[in-house]
Amino acid sequence: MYDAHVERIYRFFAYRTQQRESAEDLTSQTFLKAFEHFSRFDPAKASAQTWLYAIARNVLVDHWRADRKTAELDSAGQIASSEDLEHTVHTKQSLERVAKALDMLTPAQREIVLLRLWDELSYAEIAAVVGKSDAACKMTFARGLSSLRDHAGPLAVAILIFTKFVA
Amino acid sequence: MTNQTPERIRAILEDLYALDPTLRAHAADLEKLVVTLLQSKPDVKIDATFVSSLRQSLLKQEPKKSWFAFLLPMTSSQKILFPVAAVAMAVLVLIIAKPELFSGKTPIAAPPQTALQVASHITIERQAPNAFGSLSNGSAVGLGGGGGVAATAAPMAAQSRTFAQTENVATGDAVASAPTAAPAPKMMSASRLVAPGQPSDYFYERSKYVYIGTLPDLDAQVSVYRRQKNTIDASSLAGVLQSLNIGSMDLKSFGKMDVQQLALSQPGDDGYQVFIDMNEGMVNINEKNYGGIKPYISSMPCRPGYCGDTRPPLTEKDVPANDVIVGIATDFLSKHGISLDGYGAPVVDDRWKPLPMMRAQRDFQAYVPEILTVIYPQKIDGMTVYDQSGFPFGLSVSVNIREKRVSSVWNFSPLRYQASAYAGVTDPKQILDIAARGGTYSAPFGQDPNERTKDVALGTPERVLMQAYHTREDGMGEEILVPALRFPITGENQEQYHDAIMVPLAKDVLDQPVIMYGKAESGVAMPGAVNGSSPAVEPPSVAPVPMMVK
Repeated sequence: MYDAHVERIYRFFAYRTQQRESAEDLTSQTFLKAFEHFSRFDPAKASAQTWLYAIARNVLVDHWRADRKTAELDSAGQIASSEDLEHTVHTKQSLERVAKALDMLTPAQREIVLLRLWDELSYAEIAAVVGKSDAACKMTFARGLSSLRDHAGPLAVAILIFTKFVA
Repeated sequence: MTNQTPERIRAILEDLYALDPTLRAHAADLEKLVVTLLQSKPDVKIDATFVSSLRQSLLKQEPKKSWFAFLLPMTSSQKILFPVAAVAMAVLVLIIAKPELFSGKTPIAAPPQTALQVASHITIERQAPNAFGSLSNGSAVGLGGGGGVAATAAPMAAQSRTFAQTENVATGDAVASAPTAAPAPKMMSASRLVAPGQPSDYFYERSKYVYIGTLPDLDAQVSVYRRQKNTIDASSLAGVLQSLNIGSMDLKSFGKMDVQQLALSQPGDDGYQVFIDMNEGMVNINEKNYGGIKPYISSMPCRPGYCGDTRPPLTEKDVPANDVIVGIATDFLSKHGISLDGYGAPVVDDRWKPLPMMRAQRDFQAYVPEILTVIYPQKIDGMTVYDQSGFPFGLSVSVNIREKRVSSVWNFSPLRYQASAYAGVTDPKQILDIAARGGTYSAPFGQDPNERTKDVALGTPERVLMQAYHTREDGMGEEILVPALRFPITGENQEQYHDAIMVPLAKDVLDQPVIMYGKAESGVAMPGAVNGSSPAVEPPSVAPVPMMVK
């Protein structure tokens, strides 16, 4: 289970904290908790991936609470695989712009959009992770995209497209 | 930034169009948006040194807390453990089948004395007041078995445990209907632009739950229950296992040892596996091949040829009546001698059923799960146990709908609890205020200026127990049952996927700060982190914590 999922869980944190050190620390916490409570894992109820994502989500909540004053964006770009400075700067700038675009969404929309598009979870998996139904997750996702397109559309798309080119 | 396949982009868009066909009119815009968002995903690489280092850290954890499978495939230094576990399973079977091999005596007619037995009664050990420390959580692990949904614990019983002050507890009957997920704000419009200085017309519509009746008498002190672990005694088994000759290894050289976990399996590809965790005091049973369902797609609608399962998806007509599903589950439990003492009437989890507003959508197709779950709710001191969303909590039996057979049994453990008195909530207004916002784990109203409310009626509350997790000062988690009022939602609540509101009656629990909803600027950590598995969070005065950018 560890080998199969450690990279995905790490990415989950890296996308959201933009900082390698935090992503590693939170990944460690997630697997330690999963390890400790493995007897509670029921594969008939959910996949190991879903179970781990759900734990990761709670670990992230704890992290936001405890470490809210850390200016992690200052370290954005650390997570990028390239060591090239120029690329790192662009990555940081593009992440800032993506963050700004996604900030147009409600928190629930933003969470589900990211789980769907960046973490590549299915709706069933997202539903299990966030504790809502498949249908509610689909609806939230659709509304999130519609919201970006309909209301904040021109600006959001412009921001995102600009992000694409600078990255 | 990463590349995405056209197939994935198309699948994402098709999902959207299936939900709302009118979105096809904006296909070009939406495709551009999805492609750009996908391409904006950072290209993250994990450090191999970190992966290796974390693996080593995990291996150093208390082995009693883990299953070998967690770290499979194992490093060479750990591979010795797996054969030992396998031998342990074989030995348990042999102990039962041929005890003479281990006792050195001739066979006897009477059945062998097995190391594990199940008692058929519930016990509660009364403790001094506030015996579990503060019940206010600092941090929570969250999920229990599976699906990420809360929970652990349940019934069975170990014979060989005695308590100084133990009493038998009568159980009640009947169980209420099944609610679902934690309350969440309903989004009505999302035209907000968060750029500085930008006007916002975005608003939430949140349900405001209104109860106009009288509350039952509120006690100054309430009993909180803590589940006891280590309730399965397998001490006699360890000595037997240590006498085995495993190659050149001498298990006796380790001195006194305990058996922590056992896994037993029926032969062949089919049948069941039984996992026994002595530390957690829990037994789980799983079908070996998931009834032909691929484990990782078992909860997903899988189109023919799409993810390996060529069978057509189930339809609503394929789902038997609830009494048939309950019959399959109960027959299985009876066949395997699993006592239902201490449990209430079974409830089929039918939260998968589409809501009327979903059915009203054009081209709607219901997703029918392959496996449905029957819950036998725990009954303690005559009160039914519910999880924090208000859904019955207890012994869980999953039934494979296609095969009409039990797929798994989960949360089966001795019903051994300690009880301790804690200060109760005596202020009716506080209870009604918490109920109004949807329970303990939802934020108060008025945190977001864009928030609007809609009144939803609540029915007469029932006094129940709420299952929760408590983090001790040493960081270890434990399961507690807290007295609570369960208000059924009787008003129109179509977009809220739950049908009851839980309000705990222990002051420590009710007074916990909550996770805030609202605009990112006003300090939302994570949305939706309000279900039972989530920890409490800061009061409203905390600094802003947007999700992506801190």
